[in-house]
Amino acid sequence: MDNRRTGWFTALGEDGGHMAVQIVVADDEPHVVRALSFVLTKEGFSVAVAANGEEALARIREERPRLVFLDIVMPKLTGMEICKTIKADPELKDSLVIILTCKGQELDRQNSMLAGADEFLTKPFSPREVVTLARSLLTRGEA
Amino acid sequence: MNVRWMDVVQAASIILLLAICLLTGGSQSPFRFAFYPLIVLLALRIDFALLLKAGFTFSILFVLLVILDRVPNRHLPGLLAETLSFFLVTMATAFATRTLAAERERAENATATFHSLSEDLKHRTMNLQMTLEALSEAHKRLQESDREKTTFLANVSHELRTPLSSIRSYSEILLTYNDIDSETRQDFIRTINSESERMTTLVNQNLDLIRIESGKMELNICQIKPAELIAGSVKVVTPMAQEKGLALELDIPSDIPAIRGDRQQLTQVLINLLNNAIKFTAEGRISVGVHLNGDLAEFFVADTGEGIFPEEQEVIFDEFFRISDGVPDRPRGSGLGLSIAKKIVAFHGGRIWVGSTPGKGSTFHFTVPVTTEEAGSVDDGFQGTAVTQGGYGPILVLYESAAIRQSLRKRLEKVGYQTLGADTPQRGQEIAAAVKPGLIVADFSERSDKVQGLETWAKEHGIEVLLATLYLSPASGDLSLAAHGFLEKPFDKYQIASLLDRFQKSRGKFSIISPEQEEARQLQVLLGAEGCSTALFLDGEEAARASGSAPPHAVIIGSFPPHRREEIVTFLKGVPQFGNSPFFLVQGGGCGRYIKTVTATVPVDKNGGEVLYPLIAAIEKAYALKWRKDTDGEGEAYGRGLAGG
Repeated sequence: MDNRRTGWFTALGEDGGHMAVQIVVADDEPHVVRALSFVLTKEGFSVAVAANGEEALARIREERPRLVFLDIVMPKLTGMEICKTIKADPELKDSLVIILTCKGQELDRQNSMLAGADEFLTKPFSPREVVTLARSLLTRGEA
Repeated sequence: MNVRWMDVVQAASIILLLAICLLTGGSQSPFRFAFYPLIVLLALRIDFALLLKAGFTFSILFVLLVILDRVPNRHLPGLLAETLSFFLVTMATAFATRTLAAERERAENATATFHSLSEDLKHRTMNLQMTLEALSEAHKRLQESDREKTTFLANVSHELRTPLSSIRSYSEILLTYNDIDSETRQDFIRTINSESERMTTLVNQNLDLIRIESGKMELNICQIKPAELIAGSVKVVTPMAQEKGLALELDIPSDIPAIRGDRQQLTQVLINLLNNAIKFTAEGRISVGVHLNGDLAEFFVADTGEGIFPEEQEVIFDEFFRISDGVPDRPRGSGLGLSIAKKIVAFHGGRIWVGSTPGKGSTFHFTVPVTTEEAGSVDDGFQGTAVTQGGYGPILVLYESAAIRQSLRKRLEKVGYQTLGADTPQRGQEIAAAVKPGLIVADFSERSDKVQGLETWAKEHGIEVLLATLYLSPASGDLSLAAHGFLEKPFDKYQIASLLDRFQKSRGKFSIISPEQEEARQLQVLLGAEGCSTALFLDGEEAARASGSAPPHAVIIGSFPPHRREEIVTFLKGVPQFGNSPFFLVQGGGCGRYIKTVTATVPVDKNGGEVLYPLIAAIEKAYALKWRKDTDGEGEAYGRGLAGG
């Protein structure tokens, strides 16, 4: 697989066989989390999941992922808040953010962009599109 | 005639007194000290023109006496000059006095007019103020409901997208990857299936809510035994409880009377509550039961689940509220079940609430009124909508004619009210016993016995009812027969003032046709105080005969029975000189403390339909007032005065 050769995919086996997490998926709907993580894992990414805002931020801080999927409406911390936190933190701001939401209004898109999100995805989504989007974002990040 | 005759007698007395004085020696007359003051007194009392005539007659009489040589005194010219100058001074004095008196009267009239006008203005300003407040309240309510609708729609789309996205994701995954192990594959298919079920439930519940809110949900009200209701609901949820290993306990005392309600809807409420209880309880038991609380049956569903935090208890009945603390395996619902339950219970005239200790369990309660008498099913003619008029009851439209009842309800609903219909006071009372209405709109005003029954009932139940009386004008559908306005008993000067205002002249001529002497007298006194002349008649024929060629400025028709009143109006409209006179109808008012009245003329339009807007406006005003400030003083302000035209 292509991305196994890319620079951000490090440490296969280097730190005790543990593969670094590339993507964090945060959503309070377990089915969404499961579907996304299944597809991304299947496509060769390593994925960590979170069911609420606080958990998501904790996961992001400890894993330093290259890409984060964030649902807007989540308990405890909203996706927007997390996105702002990531983009304001010099250590985290390199993580790419895709906002994932049920709300398809233009206002949400604008707000996401203002919060510093890199992409915006409306549910229901096609897993294939998600993978394509993730790939292109990560490649762009590389370039 | 009597008054004029007295004047002539007085004028003749003056001539007589003057003649006696003259004949007995003018200023030397022995009667002068008595007669001269008497002449001045008489001159001041009688009409000025008559006084002039008296003087003239006296001069002629004097000349005649001279010609007939009957005057004993020979100094005629001197005596004549003396007597005439005395008479002239008397006349001048009388004239001056009369002019002054007239001036004073005019000034007094002007002051009185000014006072009554300013009173009227005050009254109108108050009315305008009230209308304005009622309007802005209605506007606020409409905006609020518009906002609610938008939020509701946004929530619905949000709630639909979630299961839809699962279905789409998993089906696409299954189509894309062939190498998924069969267990995962099964799991995904199960998820697709359960998520589509979730969507179905959501769509169904949405349809339920829409039906309730748009008034399309038809309730089938009948007597139900609480035990049967509970047993039926428990049967539905038993498999689910058994699956989770939860015990279901029933607590139904045998002496609970039957309740009045829609079996299917109330069963749904119980099932919703039981479903929630089972969903949120991991172990323990669910108990469901009922007990009597006054004239209410209080149902309860208690669980030993995780409980609800106080701040959540407040919003748990709101649409789309779901308890969410990020527990991944937390059962999911649509967030509509409790909201639907609340609406159904409210429609039955009950209340729903929850008590809970987090960690120990929750108990949901709801009440439904029990039946008081052994009446049969009363479901016919009783179709209504839920009670959520900002916490106030719906408007109960009590009208015998189904066409008018329906059209009034439709229009009231169009401006945002929820309504119920009934065709007789009995039916109305039955419905009102189940659902406390915020307002009763009725047209039984003509039959005082029926209104009295309603009032007695309202008093017994401690409900204040606003009886909005509509007067369809005219019943025959001919617009030219329409009344120009109404006078409502008890009469007061404001009513009279606004009635007179229509003619823009203060001293009109009124014909009062009334079967009641007391009523006619009151009107006569009130109109007389405003400087109007009145004529009293017992029927239209008499009025037409007596008025001759000079028609009155307006006709007031008293408390006749409706058909008599219509006859009189029809008859008078046929009399040429009455054809253009406006008609005012007296309405029996005085419904007492529990029933207030509002009136509005409802004209009939070209197509034969009633133009109900004046009535809707009157009802809206009454409704807003009732809930704003329900005091007698306020109540009278809108009950009085002329409405319509």
